[in-house]
Amino acid sequence: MHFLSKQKVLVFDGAMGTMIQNLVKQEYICPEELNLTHPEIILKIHQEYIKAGSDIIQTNTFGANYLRLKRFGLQEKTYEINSKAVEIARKVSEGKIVAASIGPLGELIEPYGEVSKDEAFNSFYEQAKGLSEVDFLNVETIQSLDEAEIIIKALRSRLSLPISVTVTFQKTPRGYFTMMGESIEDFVNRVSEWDVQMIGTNCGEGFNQSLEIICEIKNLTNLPLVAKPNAGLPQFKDGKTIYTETPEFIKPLIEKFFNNCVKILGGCCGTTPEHIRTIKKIANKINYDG
Amino acid sequence: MDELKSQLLKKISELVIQGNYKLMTDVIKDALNSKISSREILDSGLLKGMEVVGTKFRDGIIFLPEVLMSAKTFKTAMSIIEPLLMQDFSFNQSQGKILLGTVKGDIHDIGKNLVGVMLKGNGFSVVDIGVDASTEKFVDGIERENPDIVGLSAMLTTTMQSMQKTVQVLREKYQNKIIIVGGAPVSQNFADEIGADGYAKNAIEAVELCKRLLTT
Repeated sequence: MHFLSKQKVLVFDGAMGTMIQNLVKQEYICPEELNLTHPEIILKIHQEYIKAGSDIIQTNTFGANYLRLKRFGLQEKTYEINSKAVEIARKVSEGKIVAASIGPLGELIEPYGEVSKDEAFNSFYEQAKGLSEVDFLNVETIQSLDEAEIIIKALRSRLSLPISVTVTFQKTPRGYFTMMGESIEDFVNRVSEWDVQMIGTNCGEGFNQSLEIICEIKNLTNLPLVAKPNAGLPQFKDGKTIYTETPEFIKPLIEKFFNNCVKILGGCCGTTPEHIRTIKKIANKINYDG
Repeated sequence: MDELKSQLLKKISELVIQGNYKLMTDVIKDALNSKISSREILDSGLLKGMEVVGTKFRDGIIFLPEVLMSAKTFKTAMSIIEPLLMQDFSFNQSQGKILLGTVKGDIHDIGKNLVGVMLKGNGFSVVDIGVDASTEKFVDGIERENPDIVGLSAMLTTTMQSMQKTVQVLREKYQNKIIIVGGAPVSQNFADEIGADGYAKNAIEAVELCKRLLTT
């Protein structure tokens, strides 16, 4: 993973989904279909993040697995949607790192749900076909470690690229757990059995909680850490969905992420190029002054 | 006799808590053979079990997999006693009719389905209009079913706007209809701001919310 040794810390990009929402007038579409119908919108989002200082940009493929696309009737375009997403990111990357976003199915796998393990595997195997030209695979917003294992096996069957896995934890009275009840320790233990090069956390309730999770993970592993927190939970004011964690709010927290073994920091839902600009300033200080 | 009865009811509630759906059918049959009424099975067995499940879930002792297995066990029992309950006049007076749907653009239904199971188990009649439901679909459902409460679900931060718009349209069209919302990114604050009448954090709280809203 030569890209990790380039700099002390790296800046990821911010949200894709909530940015699309602000740019697309047409409502409630399948966001990944835009790769085919409106590539210029995705291109513009990538460009804005690069301008803001992202060292890594991520493809618009979060929900581009076969089963998820099927719910929008787009399953036959799985390869096309993924490969086009990579092409769009590469077009503007100018030497920046390109990561593939791989999100979960959004459905429960047997025995809890209707989807069989084979169907789940095949769904990501199909997605992987279009992702061969990225620098690493970012498996994100994971809420079930069993599902993560299936995703990683499927990706590994086609690709030998570095893999990052980031999990979304919820705070309970007994600490942080996934939706399926797996602890941070469970996560780190399971990951050690997989061929994965980076781990971390994304989405969730905001930068403070994400930092708490990171502080627990770093005590359990030597792998490079990745964090992409939400800009808080969305609220609704004056007819608009707003996120409370502004660039100003996250500013004092950024250095703490880097001081606690985070190698790559970016943002999830609600973060904008302004958030990335704020992160970049502090990353620059660490990379060049310290 | 009474001891056998309370033992069987205890067993039923334990099976719900353990999520042991395989044994449930036999135990329910035993209970019915022992002249325990379907109503008692529901109230003192099944719902008592689900109450414990709810508390454990709230306290972070159990998680979605356990709750799903409990719900499945609950449903197994309900499929046997439901026809009997329907003959029971007091039960037939449904607690109220709830229309549920996941808003347009969102395809997630794990939470919504769980809410549906819990509501049914508590005597509500439930109509589910599915996922990716447009405002028109909600309106159609309301016209057809005349529910007491309309419940909207959203899992994604990007479909909360869709929820807000649906609530807005429904609010204009049906001033007096009770509207409740839920889902991962949804909060009480968000519910208040978009003009919903209620918000529940999970399926257990959703039942309490519906009961409260229909008695006040």
